[in-house]
Amino acid sequence: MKGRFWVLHYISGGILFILLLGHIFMMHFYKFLLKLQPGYEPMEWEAVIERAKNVSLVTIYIFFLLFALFHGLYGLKNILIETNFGRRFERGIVFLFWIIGIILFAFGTFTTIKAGGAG
Amino acid sequence: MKIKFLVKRYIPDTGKNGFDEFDVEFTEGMTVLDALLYIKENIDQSLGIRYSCRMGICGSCGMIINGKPELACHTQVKNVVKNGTVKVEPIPNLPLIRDLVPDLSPMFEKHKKIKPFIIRDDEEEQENPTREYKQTPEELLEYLQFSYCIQCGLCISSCPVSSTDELFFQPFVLAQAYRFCVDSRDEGILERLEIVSQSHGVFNCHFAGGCSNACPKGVDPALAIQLLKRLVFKKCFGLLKKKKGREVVPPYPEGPNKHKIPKAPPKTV
Amino acid sequence: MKKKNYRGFKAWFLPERGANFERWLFTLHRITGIILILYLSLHIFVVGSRAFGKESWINTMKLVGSIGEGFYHNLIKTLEYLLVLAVGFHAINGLRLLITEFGILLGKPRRPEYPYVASSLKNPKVFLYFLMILFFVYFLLGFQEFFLLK
Repeated sequence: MKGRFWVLHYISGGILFILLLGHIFMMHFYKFLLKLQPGYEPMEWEAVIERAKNVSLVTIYIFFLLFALFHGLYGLKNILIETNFGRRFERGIVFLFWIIGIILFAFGTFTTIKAGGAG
Repeated sequence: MKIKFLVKRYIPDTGKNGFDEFDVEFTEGMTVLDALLYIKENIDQSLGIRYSCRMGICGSCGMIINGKPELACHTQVKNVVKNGTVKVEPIPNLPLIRDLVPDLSPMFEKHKKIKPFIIRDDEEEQENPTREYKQTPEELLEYLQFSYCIQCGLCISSCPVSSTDELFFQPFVLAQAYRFCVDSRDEGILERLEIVSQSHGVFNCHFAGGCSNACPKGVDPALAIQLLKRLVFKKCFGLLKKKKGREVVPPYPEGPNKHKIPKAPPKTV
Repeated sequence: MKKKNYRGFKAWFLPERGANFERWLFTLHRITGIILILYLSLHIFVVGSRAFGKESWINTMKLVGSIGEGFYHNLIKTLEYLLVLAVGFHAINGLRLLITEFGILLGKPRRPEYPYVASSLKNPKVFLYFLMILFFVYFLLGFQEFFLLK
């Protein structure tokens, strides 16, 4: 697609809409869900390990991390480049954000897979 | 009834920078431009204003009047006066030459970049035109609204992206790019989409809607920009088919020449 | 000597008189976006501590105040609620932008007639009200979840 990243920005935004709201409902609205399914505590160590061993959840998490990092860092890069200050350093800022994105993605994937293997 | 006018001054030679107060006698039907000309003729001759047609069609006299971006010749003093004062400032986001006169050349440089003219593959017809191109009323309606733009610069003053970014293609430039892309007589759509989808181009607009709010001619540049995004999106996925431009009107049939009118001499130019 | 007359960041927070509602939505969308990406960078490290054993997980949870009682825990819960609201706003406004930025629901170009009411600002208002109601329901659900249920 010849480097048209902003199309991916919109598409990842649409996918993140579903994944992120789902993530919040599972993790934080659990008192609401406790009424439907008693004994559901997502923050306890046992539940964490159980989720880390579930292969389909792990793949969803890796894609979730990829899209979220791309969408967020691309948006922040746009905000910085739109200021008069950031105009001069456009290439430097793009390079820096690539590096930050790769480091964060590598760390996130590494811990997700390691938590599934050990523990 | 006297109305107080607070006019923002900036004179580069003396470094004068601040608001000046003038008292103007109110008459019925007085526009802000009338008041400023009265000030210039009778009170302070060094006031710098730009105006031309005084009827809202040339786009020279854009200013911020009591906080709102408006054309000075189009605004009645009776409608904008607040507590007996009217505050007049030059439009922001463009370099300022003097007092109320902005420098419009950055605006027009960007306008030239998107090729605001009909482009056709047939070079011969463009250079030496023979007849006019065909166009139906429905095809005209697709771009007519955006051709009413008078390039006044009020959309630039309300755009939050233009306030921080010098290189942004202004809202009216993107609206004109759409107006030429959708014109059925034009065949340069792929070139223009290439230019407009660069960095600081159409995807730096985030639909804040300030431009359509401020436009004095009802051009609605925000609508044009969103429809332009749709065209770029289609091109990215290969769904855009480049259509052939409308053809030239067929030659008029020769009549029986009852009155023996002689033929025209050959062209000398 | 020409003076540069840019409004800069004031245009985000102090729009001109008679500015439309979408200007404020633009500013809030940007601010919530910045908050969320900064939060995500830290969140990766917090959640990543579960890969290093049960002890590190429980210590991290105590550090960020998810486990325990008292003032610190309540403060963290309030901040988490604000974050959940920021996510909801950014997501719902993002949905609005995803639909309107491709020209859907904006109306067709037509001959401008005096008074010039821009159709791109008037036609999507119904959709905007629907999304505002959705956000209000989300706000109430979150409030019930964080502060009322046990």
